[in-house]
Formats: sequence, structure tokens, C-alpha cells
Amino acid sequence: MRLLFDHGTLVLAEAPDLKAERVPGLLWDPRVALFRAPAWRYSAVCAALRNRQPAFRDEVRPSLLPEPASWAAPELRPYQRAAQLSWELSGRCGTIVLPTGSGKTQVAIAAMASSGVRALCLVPTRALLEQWSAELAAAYRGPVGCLGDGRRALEAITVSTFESAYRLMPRIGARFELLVVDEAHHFGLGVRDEALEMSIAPQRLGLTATPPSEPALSRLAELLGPIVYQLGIGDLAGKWLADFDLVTVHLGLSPAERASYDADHRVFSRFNRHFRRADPNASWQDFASAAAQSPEGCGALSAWRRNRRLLQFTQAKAEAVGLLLARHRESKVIVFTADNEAAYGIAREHLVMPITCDISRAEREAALSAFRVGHLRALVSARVLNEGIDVPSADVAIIVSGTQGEREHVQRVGRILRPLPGKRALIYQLATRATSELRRAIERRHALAPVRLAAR
Amino acid sequence: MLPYALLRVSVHLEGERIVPHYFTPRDEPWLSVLLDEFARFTGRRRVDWVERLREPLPVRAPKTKLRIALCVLEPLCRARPAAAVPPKEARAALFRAASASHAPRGAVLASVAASFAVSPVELDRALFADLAAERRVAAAPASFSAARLARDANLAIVVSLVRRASQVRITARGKYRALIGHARFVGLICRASRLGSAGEGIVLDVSGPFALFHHSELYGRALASLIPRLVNCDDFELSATCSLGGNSQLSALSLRSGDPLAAGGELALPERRLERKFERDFRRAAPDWELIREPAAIGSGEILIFPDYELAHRHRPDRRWLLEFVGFWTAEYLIEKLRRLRAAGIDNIVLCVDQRRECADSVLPADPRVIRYKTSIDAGAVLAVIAGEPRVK
Repeated sequence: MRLLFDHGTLVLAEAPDLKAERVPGLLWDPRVALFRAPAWRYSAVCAALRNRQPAFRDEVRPSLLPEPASWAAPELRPYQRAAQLSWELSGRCGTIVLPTGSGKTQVAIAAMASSGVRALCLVPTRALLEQWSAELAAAYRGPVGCLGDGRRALEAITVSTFESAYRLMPRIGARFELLVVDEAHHFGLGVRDEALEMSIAPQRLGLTATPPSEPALSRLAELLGPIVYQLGIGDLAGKWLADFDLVTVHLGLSPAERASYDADHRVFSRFNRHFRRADPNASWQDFASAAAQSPEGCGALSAWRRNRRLLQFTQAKAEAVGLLLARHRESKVIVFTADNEAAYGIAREHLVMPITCDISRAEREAALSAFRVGHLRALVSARVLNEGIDVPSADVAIIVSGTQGEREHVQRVGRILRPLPGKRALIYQLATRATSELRRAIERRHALAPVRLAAR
Repeated sequence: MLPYALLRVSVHLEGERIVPHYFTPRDEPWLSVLLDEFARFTGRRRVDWVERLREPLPVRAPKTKLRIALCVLEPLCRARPAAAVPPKEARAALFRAASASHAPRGAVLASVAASFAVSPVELDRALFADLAAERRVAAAPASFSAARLARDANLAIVVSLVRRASQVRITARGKYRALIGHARFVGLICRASRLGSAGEGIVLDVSGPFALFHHSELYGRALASLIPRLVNCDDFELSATCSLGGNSQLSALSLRSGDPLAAGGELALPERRLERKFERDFRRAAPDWELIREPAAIGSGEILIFPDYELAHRHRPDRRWLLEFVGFWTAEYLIEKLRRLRAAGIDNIVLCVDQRRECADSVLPADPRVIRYKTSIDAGAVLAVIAGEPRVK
């Protein structure tokens, strides 16, 4: 029997009498008349085949990449060391959850150094590709490979964007023994999961600040391993992250806005009540699908959309942003909005540089550099600064609105918690009274609590 | 190109056959209403148009088809407003000045506007003029009727399917020269052969983007640009194997003359800088050789070859070479091409291969008749091949 790597899968050749059901993931592929298994089951397949007769020959790993060079392992903080140890005790397969700014990359570097195997690090954006390449180059004594942003250099330690990994994994999936996935919460829902499925790497490390909810969490546990260590912002604030105050600013609606909100809310509630009576446990997706089937439902959805849009940037919020920017003239401020439209509105009105997906990468980087050295005192962003960009230190965050719930909130707050001596960050969360926004603001506040408290 | 999710609901499968849900004359009433609504937003911001589309049209429109029609209209929503100051410079100057000053907004705006020698209003307008959010809805051409929109939408479905093809076979009769010219111009990996003994038509076997490893996006775009040209032929058939699912299963698409597709306009192929430079360099390096552009097609058996140049020695008429620019390539394709040329007895040909358009992670075959290039063709290298071994055919 020969076990081979074939386009991101494992193929078992010369195995005529094999009982496939006893080997995890192995299926008969009638197209090529061979047994086939997903590459990520490599360890399990090997373990199942090990004691069989005839003995199998493992021809999966081509020795195309050199052995890794030595590392200058980074100095870890106590919680980082604990995270690394937990991962190692879990068989070097698991996900570490640490808040933004707590040094997840350092944990990954320590893990790679202690493993001493060929490693492929996956990152979601080109900005993170640069950042990881620079940090690895500082700790690793050999050349660091890079896949993405127009570069294609494979080395024993390589960084790749998710996109490049997705495209190249059918060919490079057998070359690395360790897979490190930054911002791992992007996987698990099916989008590009194949990038992880097509790698044989028996050692896997996922890193995230915001683990996904089910069913993505279970899928992630299959592909990267379960959560082996978890701390939240509340656990590290004050010592390893800057301490912070979270102020929820309660605002009202203008009479015209209130009239419009109430009218639309009535339209939505009527349909929603009717629907919930029939199916109390239905999800939002179920509701949206059902609503799209009838004119009343479409009207309800339209009303809900209008209200959501209204709450994202009300008159009171616009005024509050002005007042807060004026109050914190001497601080570095980041304003987070729900959409680009509101970001441009604030940028135009208060002369604050916007960082959005429409602004080119070069201009964004120039603006972030200017913010870092103090030439710009404030930035406004919708979603671009949520994750994937190395945001310079800031003291004040104004969260005008959001669309992505608690995960987005944790990411945003993490952006301003980079510790500095004597720093106490200030986070303003704007919420409109007597609307659903207030309930969501309370939920978001809970998401920042220490992990054990949040779990209760 | 339609997003995959939209494409998937724009067709259905009958066995292994793909059946596109074409727009028909019955769709024209609601398409007319859509065009009227679109016209109402001419000159306004694209985001306003997008916001409007969140609410239903005054007439009932099939959801999937409406989304396809909007995809077709999307290129008209990208007009950039004029800006008195380059927006990027305006942003850099204004936001930095505002950070450095405690002056009110109006004063900062006026002072930065003065430094650009424009009014504050012009500076304010220029601030985000280059961004997608500020793009304007342009007026649709006068000829853009509901019927035309329907045909364009059908073309969008077909083109999106072809961009997911692994193999395409086109049979064309009458007015097919423009089609071949376009296939060569965009550099498709294709093989041309004669149709019928009298050569009344042509068969093009074209690799699809899904058969390639690299440049599949670029290649797909190049292949898609062929389809509107196909409609100009007197008679055509197209059959393609397309991937329409995550399980790599291939389904068959077939098109023929009479399908309700929009035709592409006659395309004047622009002269490439690469060709201009090569001609200039070659004439300088080889004064004894005459360069004849686009000689007649050469046929051998069923196979047709369309060289870009014929190189004829001025004093020795027996010395003639052909030169062809190869666009996208795989090693397999080049080896097969060389083999067929050899089998057809055509040895006096030089293939100039663009190294950057390699599609299969493969190594260029070592053959003296293959010259690689990146940005320009080395006229000296061509001369070395053709002067090295006189060849008489």
C-alpha cells in the first residue's frame, strides 16, 4: 500500500483488500479506482494504517523544503507562556483565544520555535502578511517565505494570505508540518475551509480574539483543534492591556426621527409577532426567508432596514461625535461607524481622515503613519480598522454604531488597549434611548468581561 | 461577470446540460420600468441608486433577473465627478491642517483651499470625488432599450458560464476572421482547424480558465471577450464544459446562432506596443530581412496557423520564416503545438512566448524555435534563429 498526496487529498494506492470503513475519512473514488481521504486526516489515516498488513509506504511528504533554521525564541509574558503550554499539552493542535493587542503573534512564534518543524502561517490580509513577515524575520534565522501580494517564495517558514493558500494548497499542502492560522474565526463557515482541509499538517494552531459561535466553532475544532486557552479583554486590562473606561452615552431621536422610527417599528413588529407566534424558535435567517415570500414580509424587512439605517447615524449621534472630538482635541481618537456613508459624513463635517475600503492601501498606510506620529489626531472608519490592520496606539474610541455584534465590538475596543505607561483608554459607545440599540449596547458590554464571568 | 451565487440561480441543470434562464420579450415591460427608474437617478450618486434599490420597483420583477439586470447596469454607475483638486492631495492637506489647527472648520477649509488656489466649495467637493461612494450614475446610451438590456443580460449569463469552462469548442461559418483575430489578440490557448473540405468555416478548440492553474481570472476575462464577437459570425455553435458546483462536476453548455444574445461591436484591434517595438528593433537589426505583417493563414491538413509576421530575406527568396506571438501558454500546449507544426512539415516558425502568461506552473520547453520574453522581444535573438539555419520550404 502506498499513501500519496494528490491535489490536496490523500490517495491510497495498491490497497485492493482494504476495509475502508476502518480508516477515518477514507472513501472509494470510482473516478480513479482508488481510496481517497481529505489531507487534514493525514495523522488519523497514518495511525489507522500503521498496524495493517501489508505495511503501507508513506509517500506523502516530498522533501522539497529545507529543514528550518534556528530561532531566537521570544520572551513571553506569563499568560502567553500558559497559552503555549496549553497548546503543547493538547498535542499541538488547538486554538488560542487572546484579545487584540495581547501578543498572539509572539505565542505563535514561540510555538513554531518549540516545534522546530516547517510551518505555514495563514493571515487574512496583505497588511498582516507584511506584519507577520517582519515579526518572523526578527525571530527566525533563516529566510522567511511569502505567498501573496504578488510574491511567491516558499521556505521552511512561510507566511501566506488566506487567498493564496486557498489557491496553492493543492500543491503545497504536503510540505508543512505546522499550520498557524491567524484570525482563525474566518474559517469554519465553509468559505475557504478547503485551505485547511488540503493541508496534511498534523500540528495546527489557530489564533483569534473572537471565536465564532456554533456551528462554525465545531468545524474549526475539527480543522484546527478545540479552544485550548482563552482570555478576554477583562482578564488582561490593567496590566497587560491598558485599563479602560467604557461610557455608554444615551441619546435621543429628533421628533421627525422618532416618528419615522415608531412607524417603521410598528410595521416590523406586526409581522414579526405574527411570525413568532407560528414559529417561536425560528432564527433570523428563517424569518428573513419567510418575510421575502409575501408583500407584507417584504414591507416588514424594508421597515427594519430603514430603522437600522436611521439608528446608525442619528442627528444626536452626529452632534455627540462633534462634542466628543472637541472634548478630546489633545488625544488620539478613533471613531467607528457602521458604514462608509457615516464615516464620510463625519470626515467631511469634522475634518477627520477616513480609513475605508475605498481608500487605497498606500493612502491608508500613509494616514496610519501620520496618526502614529501625531500629524493626524483622529481617524474615522467603518469596518476596515476592525481587524487585519496594525492600528497605532490611540487613547479614545467613539463607537457610533456597528452591524456585527459582540465580535466586532471586542475587536474595536482591542484596538485602543495597546498598553503605555499611565495610559487609561476611554471608550464611548453611543446608543439611542428606547430602541433596540440600547439592549445591544448592554450585550456588547458583557462581551468585554473576563472570560469566566462572561461564561456565567 | 455575475457573482457565482447569482449565476447558479440563473441556470438549471437538465441531466448534465446547463439551461440558462434567458430574458425573453415578456421581461421587457419591467425592464423598461427599471430603465426609467435608472434614468431618474442619472447624475446622482451611486449610493443613492443602491439605496433606492432596497425598495421594490413599481412593477413586479423576478428577483434573480432583476439582480442580473442591475449587474448589467452597474458599469454605468461608475462615472467620477470632476474634481478641481486631486482628491488624494486634498485629503492629505486638509486633514493634516485640521489636526494641526484649533481653528473652526470653515477657516481651515478656506486656508487649505487658498493653498490650492480653489474655492472652499470646490475643495469640499473634491475631497472624496475619487471614491466609490461618490461615483455618479451616468446616462444610459440612447440605444439602450429594454430589449437591448435583455440581450445584454443574457450575454452576461453566458459569459459568466464560459468563465467557468474547462474546455470550449467553437464552430463558426462566415465572418469568422474577426473572431480569430480577437482570439489571437487576447492570446487564448487555442487550436484552429478548418471546417469542411472547402474551408467554409473554422473550428476553434479553446482551453477554458478552469483547466489552468495560473492567470485563470485574466484568462477567463480574455475568453469571455470572445463571446460577443462570436455572435457576429453568420452561423456558430459553441459547446463548453463548465464547472457549476463545489464537487468539480462538469456540465455542458451549448449555444448556437439565434440565441438571444447581444452582439459585440466591430472591434478595431489596437496595435500593440510590443509589436511596434519589435518591428522597429528588427528592421534596425536585420536590414536584409523584410517584415510582412499578418501574412495569410497557413494550412496543413486540417490545422490552420495564423502567424503574426512573415520574415523574408530580401536577396534570397528561398529564406522565409514565420513568427507567432503566443499569449497565454502551458508547456503541454507549446509542446503539442510544436509537434503539430513538425508533423505538418512547418519548421520555419519562431514562437515568441510571454513568460508572464504561463498558466500551469510548468517549464518552458527547450526548443531553439521558442524565444521567451517579458516586456519586449529581443530582435537579435529572432535574427540568430532565422539567420543560423537557412530553411527552404
